Amino acid sequence: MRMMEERMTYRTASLVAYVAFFALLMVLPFFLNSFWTNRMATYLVYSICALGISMSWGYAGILSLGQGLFFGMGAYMLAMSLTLADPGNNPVPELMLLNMEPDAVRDLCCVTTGSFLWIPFRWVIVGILAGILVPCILAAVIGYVMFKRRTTGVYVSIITLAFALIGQLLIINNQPLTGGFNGLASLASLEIFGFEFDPYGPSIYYLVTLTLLAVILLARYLLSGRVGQVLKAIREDEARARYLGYDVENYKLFIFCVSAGVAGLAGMLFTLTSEFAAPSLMATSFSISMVIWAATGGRASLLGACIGALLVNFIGSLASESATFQPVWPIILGGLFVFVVLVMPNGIAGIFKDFFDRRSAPRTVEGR
Amino acid sequence: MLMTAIDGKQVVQPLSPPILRTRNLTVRFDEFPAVHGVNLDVADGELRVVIGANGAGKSTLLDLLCGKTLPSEGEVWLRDENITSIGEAAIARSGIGRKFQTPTVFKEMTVLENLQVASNRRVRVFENLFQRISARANDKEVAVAERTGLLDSLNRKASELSHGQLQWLELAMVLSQEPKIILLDEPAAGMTAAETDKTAGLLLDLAGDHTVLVIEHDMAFVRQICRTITVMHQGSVLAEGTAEEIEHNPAVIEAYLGSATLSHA
Amino acid sequence: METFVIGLSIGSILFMVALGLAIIYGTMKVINLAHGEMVMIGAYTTVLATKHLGFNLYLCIPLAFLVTAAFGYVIERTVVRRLYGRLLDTLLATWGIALILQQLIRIHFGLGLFGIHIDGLGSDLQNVPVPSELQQAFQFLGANIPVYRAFLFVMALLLGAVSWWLIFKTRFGSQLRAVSVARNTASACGINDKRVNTLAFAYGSGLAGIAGVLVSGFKTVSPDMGTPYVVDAFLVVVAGGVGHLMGTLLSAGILGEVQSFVATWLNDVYGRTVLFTVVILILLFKPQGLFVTKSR
Repeated sequence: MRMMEERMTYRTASLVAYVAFFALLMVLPFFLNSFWTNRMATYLVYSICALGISMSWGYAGILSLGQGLFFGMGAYMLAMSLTLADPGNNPVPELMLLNMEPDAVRDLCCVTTGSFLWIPFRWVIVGILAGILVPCILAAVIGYVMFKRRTTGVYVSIITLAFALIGQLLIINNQPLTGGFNGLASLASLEIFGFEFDPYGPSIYYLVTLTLLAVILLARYLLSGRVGQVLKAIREDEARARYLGYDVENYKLFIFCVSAGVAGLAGMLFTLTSEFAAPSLMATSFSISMVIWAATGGRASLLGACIGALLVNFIGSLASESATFQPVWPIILGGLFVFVVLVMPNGIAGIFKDFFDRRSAPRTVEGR
Repeated sequence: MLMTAIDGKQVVQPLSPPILRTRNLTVRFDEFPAVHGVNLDVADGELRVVIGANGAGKSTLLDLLCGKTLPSEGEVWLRDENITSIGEAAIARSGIGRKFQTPTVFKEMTVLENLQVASNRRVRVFENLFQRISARANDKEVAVAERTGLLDSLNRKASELSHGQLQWLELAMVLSQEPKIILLDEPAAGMTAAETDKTAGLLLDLAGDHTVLVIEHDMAFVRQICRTITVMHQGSVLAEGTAEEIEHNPAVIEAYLGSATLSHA
Repeated sequence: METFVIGLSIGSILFMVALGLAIIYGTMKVINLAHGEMVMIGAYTTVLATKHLGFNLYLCIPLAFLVTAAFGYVIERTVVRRLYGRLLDTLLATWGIALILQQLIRIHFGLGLFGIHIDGLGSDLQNVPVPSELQQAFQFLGANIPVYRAFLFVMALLLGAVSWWLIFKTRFGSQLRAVSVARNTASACGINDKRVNTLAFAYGSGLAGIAGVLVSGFKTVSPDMGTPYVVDAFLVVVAGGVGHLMGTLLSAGILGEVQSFVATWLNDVYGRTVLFTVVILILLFKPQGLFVTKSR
């Protein structure tokens, strides 16, 4: 009985944490100038990334080091639509004019090789849908092969990392189609039903915050139910789950795709706050950074992962303001990686949870 | 029971139609036949004990039955369904539950959560998408926990249980699956005398409703549950019969002369 | 033929980096993402030693080995040791170490903050003088082969041979093999497995340092030069089969050739794309490595 009571207080406390976090986010723009509103919006986008990581890594034990691939794909899909929406890119994007054959027809159908792929992106809705679906489908293909072959653990990390590297190389290499190394940067603002989202105004900020709220609620619903329980079981002992009759591959594939979709969504929002999409989004270092954000906040806690991403980036940007701290920041960041892994493997959320566990009946608390 | 002699080996004619049959089941590791040409007929509701020395292929036989290892040759039939190489999960769903020698449970989850995962018969992702889970045990889960003595530990993490309790938990999980056939690999290993008695009682209790296939080393334990015994030797079935018949079987005596397995009996 | 030789030299560098990683991964199942930074430190050791101490490239080889082995020793003792059995966590922690090491070079080990600059450090690109005899080329089977590429190849084989001798012919090697096969049994038999780990980590890092010296001879040196190597080298290790020296050698050779031929045939980017694709396929379909026969 005592345990039940204590558990209630932990639950109440996490509920309070959720409400407080989102209440803070809602009022924040009133205290920020447009530069910081935009910065915070970008960091909240990173929070969504960390959420995706927490879902697949924290709950199912799948550590993808290629999350940047899905993030980048999401960013590119929307960026393609927004490129075409920019009047300067009419009838064909400037980047294609720079790269086309001298006598090519100036039409999207055939100005450069493969440029017809852009045609559907004239409709912004296509860009938005593709921003989620393309990462999902990509993840489905990669995941299907990996999980059917029963690839696990570090091999999953390495394979996803290799896929992200391939994606990055292909985008850099197909300059006439993708803008190459520079990516897509002359973008219009997103306009929906005549309402224009201004990257530096509160509108984008609230769009990101509400998306974050929606994703976190959806993820909580999903993971607190049966699927989450089975995923946790798979994380603990994959073989046992199989001998209980679960098709482990399908569960892994499912959460891997959801996580990729979340990353794609975050990528789209990134395009809105930062007004570009570039191959650097698919870099290994960026993918690993996402993992670190989630680890800092707590890999197995959705809210923790969000807060981790927000804190690391916020402090990072404060550091880059100061001439003294700016050069030292990467060292602090690297030190943070080491510190988190060595000292607090369950992150900030883990400390929060331990605090409540310790107040309840004495129990052995083991790190994972 | 009827005994007939085939090729000098004694074979028990099953009384009811077999629920589990293997035909010429064979697996080779690097050309070494770990299990060779095993034909097993297990009747519905039977309690069958498989004995044999280390390396006789007992555990490998269970691995073949539950899909952990793929056979090089031969087939496994569950009633009139060929379940050879349909995959571990599908085999489990068709009604075979396996308990391992070293307990495999979900360590970071509570006993109740372990049972919930095991007893859930809806196994597909999309069937489970909107399934909520209760914080309390339902009647079925309480019944299983009571049977295995885990009722007081439902809210404890599995990692906090003792080794003996882990054995019981895994057994409870297998029972929650409601399998037709239960495969047990040395269930009494590492148990105290009292626990062994309890296990023996439980196995006798289970037989009838379930078909139980047990691997065991301990002849005292085997006598306690005293049903049909299959003796394996060097990957093949050497003899089948009751405990008494086995102990007087010349082939078995020859194979095990001086071996610890039977002389301990 | 030229393409083949280029592939051979890519493979040689890959092998030297991968060899250290293979020993580390094989012994303690740790993926050291800071391994690329060991290459980088080896290269910077060369830059500094040639600039300030008047060393030539040959003398830098043992020096870089000692310097990077010392770095490896410290990293193992302070961080990696606490993370055995937590493979994914070591991945993250060593990535953090990699970030720190890169930035330390960029800011002159912190002295930059006080306005002190050491010639040869910082975020600029650096070059290393190469002895004139290595800048020559010779004719072989009608092809023009730069001496430096042949030198790389010889060094790779030499390091491979030394490592082979160390692992299979010395007392330390047999302890190392014992630990990598059955850590607990080995430690029960009185082998100090922690010491073996530390030494293996230091030796592996030292090999990467030597690779760094050789890389500095034909590539510009910069703080982030190491990162691509660690990914490629790890791919080589896994593709060759963990714990198989010959496998690492062969897979480094094959992957080097693949990259070189595709790069010549199409372009560099496709070379790397094909390299990654090949490795993904190997990981999916033969995760135990190309040259390992499956056994139970």
